[in-house]
Amino acid sequence: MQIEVTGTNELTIRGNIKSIEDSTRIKEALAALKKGEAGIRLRVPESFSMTSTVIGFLMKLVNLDRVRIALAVGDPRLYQLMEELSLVETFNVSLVKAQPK
Amino acid sequence: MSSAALPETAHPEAPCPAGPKRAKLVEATPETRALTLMIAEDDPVSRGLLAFCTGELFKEVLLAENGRQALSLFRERKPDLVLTDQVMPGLTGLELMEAIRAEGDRTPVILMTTVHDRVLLQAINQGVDRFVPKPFDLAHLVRTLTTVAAEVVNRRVVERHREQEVELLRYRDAYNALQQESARRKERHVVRHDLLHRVLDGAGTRWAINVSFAPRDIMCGDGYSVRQLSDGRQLIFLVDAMGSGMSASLTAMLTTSFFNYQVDRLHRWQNFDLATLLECFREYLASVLLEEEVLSCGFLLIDLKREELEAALFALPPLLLRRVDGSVEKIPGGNPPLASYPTPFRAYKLSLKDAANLLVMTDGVTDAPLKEGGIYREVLEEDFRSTPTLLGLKKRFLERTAPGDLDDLSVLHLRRLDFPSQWTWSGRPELSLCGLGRLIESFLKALAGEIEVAQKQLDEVELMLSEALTNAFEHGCLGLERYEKQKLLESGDFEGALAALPLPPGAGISLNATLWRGAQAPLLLIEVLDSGSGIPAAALNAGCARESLSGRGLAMIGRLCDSLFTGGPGGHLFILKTLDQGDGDAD
Repeated sequence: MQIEVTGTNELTIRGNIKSIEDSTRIKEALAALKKGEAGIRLRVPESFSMTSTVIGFLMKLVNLDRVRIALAVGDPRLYQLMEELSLVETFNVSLVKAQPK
Repeated sequence: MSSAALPETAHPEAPCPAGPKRAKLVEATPETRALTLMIAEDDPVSRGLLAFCTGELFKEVLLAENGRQALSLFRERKPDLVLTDQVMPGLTGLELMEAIRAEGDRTPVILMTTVHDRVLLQAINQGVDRFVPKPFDLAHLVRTLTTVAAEVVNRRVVERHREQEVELLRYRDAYNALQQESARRKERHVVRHDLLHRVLDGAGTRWAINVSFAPRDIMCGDGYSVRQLSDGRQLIFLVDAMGSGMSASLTAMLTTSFFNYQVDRLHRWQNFDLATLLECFREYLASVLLEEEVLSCGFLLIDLKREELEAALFALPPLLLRRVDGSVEKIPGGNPPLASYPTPFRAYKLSLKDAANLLVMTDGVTDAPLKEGGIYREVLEEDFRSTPTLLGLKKRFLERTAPGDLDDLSVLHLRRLDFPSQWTWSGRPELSLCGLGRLIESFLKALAGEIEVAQKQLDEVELMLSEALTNAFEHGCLGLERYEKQKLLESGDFEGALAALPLPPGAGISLNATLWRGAQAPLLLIEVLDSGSGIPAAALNAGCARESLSGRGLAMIGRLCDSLFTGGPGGHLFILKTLDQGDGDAD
């Protein structure tokens, strides 16, 4: 998994989010972003899933820290996971076509 | 009622009234007399006369002196019908009607006019309801007004009926929905699975019981019950009532309830055996079944310590048994369906010593039509051989069968969890998040070395293990309760607290895995043990509160594996995953 800072408040996470280390790195990268009024944009073009640790961290950002999150996912399975967990609205999830690297 | 005084002298253009008497009410009804008429007439004499003549026909008569006043009065008071002169200063009668129609209003408008083709044509095009030629004949005017008023009343009656019907339908829909929900809840209450997600201890071997229950309707003709007996044995009941709909559902629920009732009172029996239970059951059936009604059902008494199963199947499809070496046997029930009258029956015993898994099902599965023609019974054994889990079989079933009108589908599955070692792996991580990660890496490398697995599946295994080991570490080893974790996450102190929490003495995690190749698709069995107090089986089905920042780990594992079980003592998670599948949800 690779994390790129692709904008002032945007992270792109390439590859699959599946390990304990992935969760830790994503949390650190999110924490390092400035959480301004524009919120945070997270692009996850390839991962089929997301760990519960990352989900919990994002929920804290949205519900407690009042940070607006926009999550763009490329894999329909990850979108389906967000639907099943009733998080599409919370994370403003959109399903986008995977962009070439 | 607004009215104008009659002039002493008639206006030169005023219509000639029939006489000083009011028009006789020929067609007015109590309903039409409840309506309001608006009259737009610029001539005061005519206006007064019209008001006088129509006063008894309606509840109220509104008067306007010209078209603009009429439009304003119309918008303010919303009369039920309009009688308007054509030639008026400002807004003509037709222009008044045009303005009313432009607002989407279909209030009937009666136009009083001298015969004039152009005006008539325009009036027709704009939707005038009636014409009254001027000078008007009083009787004709009254007939026209009462006719139009009656039409207004009728239209409103029809609309009211329609609204009442819609209301009744909504009420019935709501009532039906409530009834259906109540029926669903009752069904879930009667159908029981004491051993859902639980690991069962046998004689040096562990087992589990899965159920796949897919009713076609809310009132289901199938039923089942899986019960743990106080002597350590398990008793299973499966029923498929004859027919469909309410009748079959009633029989299924009655018989399942009776079974549960008897099991709850087994402690009163001395030397319980299956034959005695069956006799009681048949006596009960005599009072429940109709003369021509029959029942397909099965009873299984399982003794895992002695590795024995006793079965009595009545008109159910044959039991399918796979042994650890991969061989498959079909064992017919051998009994006709049960009826209200006694018939002889036989039970048989099976050894489970070398059993890998076995299936009992209702004929909704075997009789399901295949997409290419034929029925599923023809390919069931082939699919059973190729898939090691109930989830895998379900997927094959759905792929092969024609979608549409399937029957109730019920399958009970007893499966072994310990296999003669074909490939095993064990490890104990250093108790830190990094340590867990290293253990997972090491396991995945060993697994990839043993068997060719698609990267997608390795990723799924890695994610499942990340969730399972993190759960074992936080809740098992560190003893962190869910609500404590929630508070730490909310405060942002979680990572720090995690690092600072002391490890209790004896804390530890083990990861054990076995690969079984008894089916065409290899089965990976993973055990995660921790020194904590254990995971209740109910937690594997429980959701978490929507706003909760944690608690989704077990659900994430469930999405990716075939089955998930919990045992004890201590923390014990058993994960089964077929290795050549795609996305899956656990049983």
